[in-house]
Parts: sequence; structure tokens; C-alpha cells
Amino acid sequence: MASTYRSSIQRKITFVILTASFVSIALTCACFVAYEFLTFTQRMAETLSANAQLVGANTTAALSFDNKRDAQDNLRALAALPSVRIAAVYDKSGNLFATYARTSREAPIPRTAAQDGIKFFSDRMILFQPIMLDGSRIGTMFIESGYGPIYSRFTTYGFIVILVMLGSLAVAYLFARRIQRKISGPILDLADTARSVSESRNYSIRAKVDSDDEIGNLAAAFNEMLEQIHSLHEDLEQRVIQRTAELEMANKELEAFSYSVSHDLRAPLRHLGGFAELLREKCNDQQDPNIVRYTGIISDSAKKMAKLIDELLEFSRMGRSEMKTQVVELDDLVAEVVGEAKSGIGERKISWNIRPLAKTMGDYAMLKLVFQNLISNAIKYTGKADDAAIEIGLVPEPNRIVCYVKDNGAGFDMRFIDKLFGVFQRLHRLDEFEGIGIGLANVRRIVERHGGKVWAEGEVGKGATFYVSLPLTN
Amino acid sequence: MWVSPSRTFGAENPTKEENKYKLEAACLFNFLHFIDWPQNAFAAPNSPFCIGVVGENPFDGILEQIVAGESIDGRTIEVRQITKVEDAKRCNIIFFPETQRDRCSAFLDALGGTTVITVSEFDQFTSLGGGINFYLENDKLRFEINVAAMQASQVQVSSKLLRLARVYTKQGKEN
Repeated sequence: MASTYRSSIQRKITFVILTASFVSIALTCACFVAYEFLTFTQRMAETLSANAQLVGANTTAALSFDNKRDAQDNLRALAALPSVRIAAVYDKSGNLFATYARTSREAPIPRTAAQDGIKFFSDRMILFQPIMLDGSRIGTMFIESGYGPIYSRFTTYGFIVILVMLGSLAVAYLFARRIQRKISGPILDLADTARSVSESRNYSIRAKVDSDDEIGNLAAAFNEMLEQIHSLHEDLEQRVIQRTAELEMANKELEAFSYSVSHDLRAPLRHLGGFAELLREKCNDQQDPNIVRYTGIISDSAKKMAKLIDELLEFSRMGRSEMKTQVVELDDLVAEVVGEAKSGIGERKISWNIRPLAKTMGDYAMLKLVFQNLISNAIKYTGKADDAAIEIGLVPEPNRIVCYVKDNGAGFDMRFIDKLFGVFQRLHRLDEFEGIGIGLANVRRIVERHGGKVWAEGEVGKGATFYVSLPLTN
Repeated sequence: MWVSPSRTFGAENPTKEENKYKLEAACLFNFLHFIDWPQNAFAAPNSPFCIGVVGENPFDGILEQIVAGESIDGRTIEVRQITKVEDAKRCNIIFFPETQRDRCSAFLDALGGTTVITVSEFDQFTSLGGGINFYLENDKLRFEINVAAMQASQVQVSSKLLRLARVYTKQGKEN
């Protein structure tokens, strides 16, 4: 990645410098060549005109005394000029008087004189110029010349231009390489620094500042920014550590508090219950039946409170205690729980339907608590049904184990399903069904610690079904 | 056919004699272009050139026509009839027609050391000390220049003119 942007910025700088120098050299050369061409043609035209003047002046006597041979001899002097192809002298009336042709293959010589002046063609230029004698015109000089010298000269110019171009482009290239090291080097350093900062999250890295130009300013500003980020980051981390410590402290205090409260409440409660029992035994022979009733209420309340405290302690333990994960045979576990439950219901008739279950991964004691809660709930809420039935089984699902515990008891209103698994949330009045409303909260807590979910379906008077999803064994 | 480069003539079928005088008239005029006279040849800076014709004028007005309206170096040109030697001294060029061959010795003697150029049209004129002499060569009019006479007259003859001419020296004819 570094190499792509590295090469692209270097290529851009090289491209810019080479293009700029190429364009300026090309323009300079074009101007130079154009200027040379113009001045050279002008000079050639002047030279041609001067030669015409010279040769023409030499033919004045020949024209005046009608000596064509002498005029011819004069024209022959043009042989000294290689670019002159044909030439002629016309008399005062414009008729041909004397001619010159460099070779026998030259273009035909005009029969009569044309208008004075020089004309440029692609391959030649022609000149008609008056021959004057003492202020009056006695004839016309004609010369046609090629551009030979111009072409050979411009071929040379072409070579020079190409050499100059190559030379300057080479120099420009070397220059570009030097300069791009100065320009792109610091930028690339800066980019490297930025990348290593973001990769290593080490905010103490600093960019090099070795120039006082815009790039130097950029690097300095970047360093300043890093400084700020660094201090902000450190500040933030410090605060997180502090807050976490505070929270942990508060949490520990709270747990210690609730534990000690629950624990310390049990001792006086035991005394209360024990002495209430003693009091009732002592008062059995008393005539006043109220005494027996009152002491009975005290004793029951103490028991209820002891149970409440036990469950609170259990709930707080569930949140803290470590999980001992192992393979759990749900069939065995459920059989054990149901066996215990059956012995606790005394005279009640319940029809049990326990279907084959599966293996799962989890903490045996915790999972036992889950099923204890669900089954005792089912027993509790079928207490008023005529023929209580409880069914335990599996819902077939591919990626997890879903167990259900179904009863035909009091059921619940689906509108209040949100309250079902909350702590101290009850859907029934206490005098209908006893309990403190912590059992399902515990169930949810345990199942969620196993990575599962709990949910329920129910209808008032028609029973409820509780579902528990648990992980498959790997 | 001869066509004068500086003057065209409108004569139809001229006789050989007439034609010769036309050409000679043109030449007399053109000599003025190629010969430089010293300042003392003229009475004043703007004095005209003078072409004198000795005796009877054979040009039949052609010479006058040629020079009419012309000017060279700011000088106009006049043609004079010369009868006496004294008159000839004021001219730049004097022409002896062949008919005046007998009188030329007297004129040449008198004009020795002056700036007057003598021109004629018969053999031996240059050997007598004359300046320029017309002759025919292959039916074309040519002229012979006596360089010694030119030098004696203190005039500068253009090399262009000399190149066209047959040059006469005392040792013999050249060119």
C-alpha cells in the first residue's frame, strides 16, 4: 500500500516537471525555429533581391546597346549561387532579353515579365525586380531560387532541437527526482507516521519536522494534534480506570451488604421461629384458642421469611458463583427433580408425562435449580385443578436443545408476559398461590448464563408452558 | 530587328540608311548614361548635356525626338547644329556624319585637351584620334572606343560600356 501512493505522488511530480519543461522547451524551440525561418527567408529574399540588383545593374549597358550576349554573360555570374535555378532579363517592354538556367532540366522561363515583387512557393521563390538606369526603368530582372540552404539549415535545427529536448528532459528528470525527494519525502514520512500511530495506537510517536515550509507546518500541526489526542486518550483511560474501580467497589459493598443483611437476618429469625414454637407447645393446654392461633401465625411468618432470605441468598449466589460446566443428562436430572417433588406433594394426585430428553452442557447444580423452579411452579399452579397433569419434553430443533414444562393449571394472561421473569414480579395474588416471585428470575439468570433463553406461553385457566433453550453438547 | 531598349521607334520598313541613323541616335543618347564628364565640362551645375552634330543633320529629327523630355543626373539634353570648331567646344559629344569626314581633322586638332567626346561612323576615325566610332558587324551596329582619347578628355567611361565595345589602342585593335 505504501508503495502505491509513494509511486503515484512521485510519478505526479515527475510528470508535472517533465511536462512543464517539455512544453516550455517545445514552445521556445518552436518560437526560435519560426523566428529563424522568418528571418532566414527574409534574409534569403534580401540576398536574392541584392543579387538581382547587382546582376541587373551589370546588364544596363547590354540592355541599352542591345547586346544580348553580354547580358547572357552577366547572368552566368549567378552560377556562383547554387540555390538560383533560373534567371532572365526582360527589356523595357517586358520581352525576354537574356536567360540563365542552372541545368537543362529547370522549369521553363516566363516569356514575359510579371509584376514586380517576391513570391514564395512551397519549393521555390521567384523575384521580378526593375532594372533602372539613371532613374528610369530600362528592363526587368527575374530570378527563381530554391530553398536549399533553408532546408539543410532546418534539418540541422531539427537535430539541434531534438538534442536540446533530450538534454533538457534528462536534466529535468534528474532535477525532478531530486526535488520530489524533498517534497514527497516529508509527506510520505508524515503518512507513515500517521499510519503507524493508527496501527499501533501509540500516541507518543511524533512526525519529523525538518523544513519550515508548508509541509513542515503540516507536520508540526500534525504533532500538535497527536499531542492533544495523546493527552485526551490518557485522560479518558485514567477516568475509565477510576470509574471501573469505583463501580467495582460499589458492587462489592452492595453484595457484602446484601449478604450480611440476609445472613444476619437469619439468626434472629431462627430465634423468633424457635421461641414461637416453644410458646405454642407451652400454650397447648391453655383455654384461649387465640393464643394457639397467634403463635401459629408467628411461626409460619418466621418460616416464610426464612425461605425468602434463603432464596435471596440463592439469587445473589447465582449471580456470583462460578459455573462448573460438564455434560448433563437432562433425563437423569429431571427424574431426580420429579422424584424429590413427588415426595413433597403428599396426598395430591398429578398425572406425570415425562418424555425422553437430551444431553446438554452446563452446571449440574444450576440446571437442577432451573427444573426445580419450573416443576415446583407447575405443581403449585395446578394446585386448584381437578385432574392436574404435568408434561416435560423436547421441542425438536437442529442447533439447540429446547425443553418444555407444561401444565394445565391456572395459566397467565399473555399481556403480562414481560413481568413473568422479573424479580419480585407476581402475576397472582399471594393468597392464591404462595411464593415470593424470585424463582423465574433465577431461571432466566441461569439459562442466560448458559447462553440460552427462556420464554412461556399461557392462557388464564388453561395452563402454561415454559420453554428453556440450552446448548448442544459438542 | 533592332529594338532600342530605351526608345522604340514607330517607323515601318525603314531603309537601311534610315535604320542605321535611328540606332546611332539611340547610342549617342545612351553614351551619356555610361560616360561621366568632369564638373568643368559644364558651365553651371544644372547646365544641360549637349550633343552636337557637325554639318548637315542626318538624323531627320530622330535624335531630337529621343532626347526630348529626358534628363540624366538632373540635366536635360539638347541637340545643336555645329558649323564652327568654336561651337563644338561647348558640347559633350559631337558627331561627325560620314559626309563630314574631311572636316574632322581640323575639329580633332582643335578639341584636343577638351572634355568633348568625338563620335563618327567611318573607318580610321579612331586612328585619327577620334573617341568613338560606329561600325557594322554581322549587320549589327557596334562601336569602337579609343581609350587614349577618353583619358585625354578626362571623362570616366563605364566598364559596362567598355565591355560592349571594341577597344582601340595605338598598338592596334583589341577585343
